[in-house]
Amino acid sequence: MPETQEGQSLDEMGFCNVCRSSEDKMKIDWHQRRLRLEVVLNRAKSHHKSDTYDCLIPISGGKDSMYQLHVLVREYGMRPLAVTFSHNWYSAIGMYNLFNCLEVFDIDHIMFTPRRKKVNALAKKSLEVIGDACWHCHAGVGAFPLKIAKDYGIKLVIWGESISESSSRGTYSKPLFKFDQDYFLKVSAKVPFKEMVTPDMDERDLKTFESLNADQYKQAEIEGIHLGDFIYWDEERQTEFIKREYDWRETNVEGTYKRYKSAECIMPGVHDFANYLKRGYGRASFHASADVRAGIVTRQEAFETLTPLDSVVPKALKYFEEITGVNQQEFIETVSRLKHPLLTNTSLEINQNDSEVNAPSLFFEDLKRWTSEN
Amino acid sequence: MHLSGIGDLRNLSKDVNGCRLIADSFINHLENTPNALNPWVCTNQDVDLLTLNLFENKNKPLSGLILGVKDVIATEEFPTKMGSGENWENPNMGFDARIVSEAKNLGAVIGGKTKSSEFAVHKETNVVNPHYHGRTSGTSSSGSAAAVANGSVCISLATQTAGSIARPASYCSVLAMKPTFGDYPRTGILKTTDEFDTVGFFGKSLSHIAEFYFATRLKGLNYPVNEKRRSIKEFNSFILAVGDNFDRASNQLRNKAKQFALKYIDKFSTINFPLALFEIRDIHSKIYKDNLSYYFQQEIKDNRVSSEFSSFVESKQDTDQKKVKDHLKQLQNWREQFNDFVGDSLIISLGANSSAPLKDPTYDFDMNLLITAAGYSQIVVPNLIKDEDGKNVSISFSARKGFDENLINFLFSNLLLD
Repeated sequence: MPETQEGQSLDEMGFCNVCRSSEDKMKIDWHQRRLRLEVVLNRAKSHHKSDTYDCLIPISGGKDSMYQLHVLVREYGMRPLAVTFSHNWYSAIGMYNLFNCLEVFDIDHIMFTPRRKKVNALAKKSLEVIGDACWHCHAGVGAFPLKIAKDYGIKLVIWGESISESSSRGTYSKPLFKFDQDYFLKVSAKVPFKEMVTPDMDERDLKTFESLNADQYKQAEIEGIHLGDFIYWDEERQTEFIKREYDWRETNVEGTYKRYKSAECIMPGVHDFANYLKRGYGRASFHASADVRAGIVTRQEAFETLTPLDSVVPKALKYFEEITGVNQQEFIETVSRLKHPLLTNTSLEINQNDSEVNAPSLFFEDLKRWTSEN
Repeated sequence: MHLSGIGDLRNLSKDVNGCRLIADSFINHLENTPNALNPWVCTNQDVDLLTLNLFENKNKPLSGLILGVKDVIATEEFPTKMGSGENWENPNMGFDARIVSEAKNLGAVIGGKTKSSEFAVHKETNVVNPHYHGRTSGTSSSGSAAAVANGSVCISLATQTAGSIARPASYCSVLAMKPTFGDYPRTGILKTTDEFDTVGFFGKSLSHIAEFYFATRLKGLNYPVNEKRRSIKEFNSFILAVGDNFDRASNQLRNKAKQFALKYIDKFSTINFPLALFEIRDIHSKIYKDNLSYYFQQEIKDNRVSSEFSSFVESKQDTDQKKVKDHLKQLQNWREQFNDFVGDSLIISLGANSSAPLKDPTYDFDMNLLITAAGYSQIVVPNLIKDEDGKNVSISFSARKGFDENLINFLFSNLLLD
């Protein structure tokens, strides 16, 4: 991964944290980790205060959600409450995958959807503050499940991929964060809800995104874990598995050539294009790096064929302009102000999108069209 | 295309009696093989369990196939010791490498782990060559080669970083394929050198190899580079790569290779590669040693490697980020030159410089190194020529990335292999 990735450090060979973490995985006794997972799950089954649920599983309907549910429900017989914080940018495929999860595993589910104008206002503010459009999602997926866990008396919350897998902010042998109430604030949201106040949106309006405080978290006795710290995480193998076993579906995802990452959302292209403007790489580079590590492509092939996708303006940027009034040029200027210091004097190539693939559309818009057609 | 190999097993595995026949055959073979000749580290020897596994996996593309897996490839149900005996700290890896997982999804059952050189590098294994006892069976992937050569299994997984599939194939007189670099992810496989480590396999017949390859290789929209480079076409020329520049074989062996090629191909040219292309020997060596010293630094520090491994790695020059980048740049330039030179040709070369030599040989440079460094597709066919002592030597057929299917088609139609 590039040296501009958050938390990145290259060693004497020029190898990055993600590469090192990938090699760590080969030296871990995953059989032993599975046994540790069983202890955690059995404990949750035996002394939960909630009469109804053994654990809470935050899900988006993405590939990791489906796989988490497979492992926890099918392999370990857990009785979970599934919780979704909706970014309210669901694609039709994403909504299908989410409800397919619920049908396949026959589980109870709570979903929270922030209102449209709030999402729109936060998308604009988010761009200015953290340099991507997705603060409401980063903050909501962390805060909302913990509140529900507290309300329902559920002690165990189980997320999917470990931060050690590909984020550079920790390796499997040196994990960075212990899970607590502020985990997602530190990892992705970056700023607390109070700093997102706007003239049109007061603190009360943003309470949705407030996590538990330390006392509440402690009193609720919540334990948060990532499944990827206990089982060998192989994203593509898992995706192939859920496609084959459960009819989980992929789609075209802007900004990359892999069709499974953030398939539930219409905005990953905007998120990853912003990352490109700030850090000089986008989702295509991220995936190409993974493919180089796995020996699927050489570095040369990655640079020639795959990483150029980073610089293509996503079609969803038009939608971002519709909801925020921020046009492409303003978007680029705003995000570029947060450019990584190593890129200060670098002019990044930007290419307009000439793909024939349609811009991603909201599930609701598709649903409106389908229902009027029929 | 004739694809009867795994198809026969698939048909046999449709009922439980057929599954038991397959399981019995595997286990009888193990029981009747003297320990000293055993290419396996560990095996599934429970006939009932094996029968059940086979039956549960009926009616899938690879049903009935019992698979050998090199000891550097992770498997959930068997320990993985990386060819290092007790020196690998976590043999109970608790998961399947991606290729193993994919083969199992398609119906294959894992028979056991095959012996590998220590960390898949150079140290000779104790695998006995099934055809020429007392001679080497090759190094790194020798267990997988011998497991197919002695008839234990029809397909055995292996890896190649220089010549670790091609040489054992030649020495043990067994068919092998090293597909295009990238056709198989290395997830869950010991890494020795990023740019060269490639997954491949030995097979009982070309049909077995072809069917296994087409079933298990990466495919689909998530792999645009792999899909884009695949194309079905006739080779537009043939390069006979035998001679002083390419190998250290005897003149007699080279002449036999030329005669063989003439018999099958009426339009081949014997081409001298530009000398610059042989710089790959140094480039490969530098990158290989850089990577080994990096990936095994903890094992070396803890004295968990053999003296041979240690001295091989320690012979590298001091390396820093800039030198590593320079080496990779040299490799990139070399690949461009090599690709320009080879184009869409079929390369015919010797699978090894000689028939199986005595144990612990010094390995001379051969064409396999160029083919691996370029990431090319390669199929090594045994028993096509013999040396002056009447011992078998293989011929290697290779072509640029993505030409795997062309190679397979060529061998089916020109060598009439089954």
